[in-house]
Amino acid sequence: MEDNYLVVGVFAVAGVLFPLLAMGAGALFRPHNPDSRKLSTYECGEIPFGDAHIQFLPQYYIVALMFLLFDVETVFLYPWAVVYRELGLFGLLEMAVFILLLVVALLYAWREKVLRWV
Amino acid sequence: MGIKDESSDYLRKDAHRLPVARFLPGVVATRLEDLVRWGRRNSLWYLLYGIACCAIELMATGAAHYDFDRFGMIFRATPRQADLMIVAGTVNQKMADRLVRLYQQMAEPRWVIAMGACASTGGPYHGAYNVINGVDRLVPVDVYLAGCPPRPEALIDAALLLMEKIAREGKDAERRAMRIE
Amino acid sequence: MTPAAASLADQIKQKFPRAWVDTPVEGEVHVRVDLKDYREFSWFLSSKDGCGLTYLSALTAVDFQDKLQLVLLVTACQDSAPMVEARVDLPRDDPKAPSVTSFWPGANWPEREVFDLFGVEFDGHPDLRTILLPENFKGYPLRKDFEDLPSNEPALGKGEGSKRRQDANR
Repeated sequence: MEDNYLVVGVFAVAGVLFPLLAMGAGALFRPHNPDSRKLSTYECGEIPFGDAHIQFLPQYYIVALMFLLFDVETVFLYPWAVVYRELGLFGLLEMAVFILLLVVALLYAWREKVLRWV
Repeated sequence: MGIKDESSDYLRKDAHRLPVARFLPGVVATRLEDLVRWGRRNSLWYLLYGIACCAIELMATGAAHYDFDRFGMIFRATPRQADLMIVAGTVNQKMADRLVRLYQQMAEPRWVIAMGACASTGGPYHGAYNVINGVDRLVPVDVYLAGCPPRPEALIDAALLLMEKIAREGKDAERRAMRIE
Repeated sequence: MTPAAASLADQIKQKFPRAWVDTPVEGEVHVRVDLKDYREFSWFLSSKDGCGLTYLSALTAVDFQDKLQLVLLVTACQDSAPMVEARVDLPRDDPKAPSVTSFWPGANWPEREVFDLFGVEFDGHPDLRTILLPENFKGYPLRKDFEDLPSNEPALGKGEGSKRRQDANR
């Protein structure tokens, strides 16, 4: 049991160290001469004008929202799947109820034409 | 770490030096700089800056038959990711403004190849209206390449000459231009 | 002489008796128009009720020593369409001409180019400003009496190139 936690700990430390080392090594090896003209916004050589603000389609937002919901549902499915054998029929029916509730939500979204990409 | 003042000196002798080299003993710093110079000269990413006819030869050199990619040179459309600006074509007075701004937006280390007669000295349009007689009046040039337009082999020769120049770079701190006839 | 070119030449001669019309080349009609007739002539060439030549192929100018001359090349997008070369004389001192962008929208940039390089002002042009030269350029380069002023050379930056070119061979 302790072995598993050790592996997780090593992964966590490596996951933090790796980007720090990569970015730190870059900072040591690259020249650093910031200058207001070097930092100016790139606009193909022209002096930049106007806003960088752009408008995006609300469909992207809705798709992201739907994805989030069903992704969280998937996250809940994984631990259930791991201990499925011990739970038996009761576990199966309970998870079926959970999924059914979310299917109702999906059907509602479908009827509201949210899934149509126009 | 503030921002330098507006008079950024293009000819700064230590513009390409590594910050870490200051803290290390001599022999380690030298070997490290050699390694970094090797990396820099074998992966020169050039800014797509074809302004006139030489652009066709630049494109041909980047394409399959002559192939810049075998030297590690790939084209980038933005100055932030480019090390090398190959000025391919005549520079007009209207373009001069944009060229200088793009050079200023390139991150160090940065080098310039003046490709063709127009970029070197104004070429066939030397002395004509609206023409800058050579891009070295605007930015410091590392390699001049003659030709109207220079053949892809000549452009590859200029790139290799630049790589040799980069290999020698730390040794004499002043950056000197070399000419290909 | 293709039939279309011949009939077009006749039509122009009828409507604009002051104009000089010639058909030296097959399929082409060469016309010299007065400045006073220029606008009406352009309408006649371009409109559907007139000749229906809707494609302005080129609009440029020539500097003869005593006058400037606008040159237009107009045709239509059919194989059989004749090509009309129209020339309009302009005085050198104050060259102004009506703009034909309302008849051929493609004249927008060519007229800007003629304005930039010859100094011809076009009345009624939606956006008359320099197109090739920098804004503060003085003089009209394609005129025969153009002399480049030292003030036209821009204040150049810190390249310091021409000095360094002397030790470029090392």
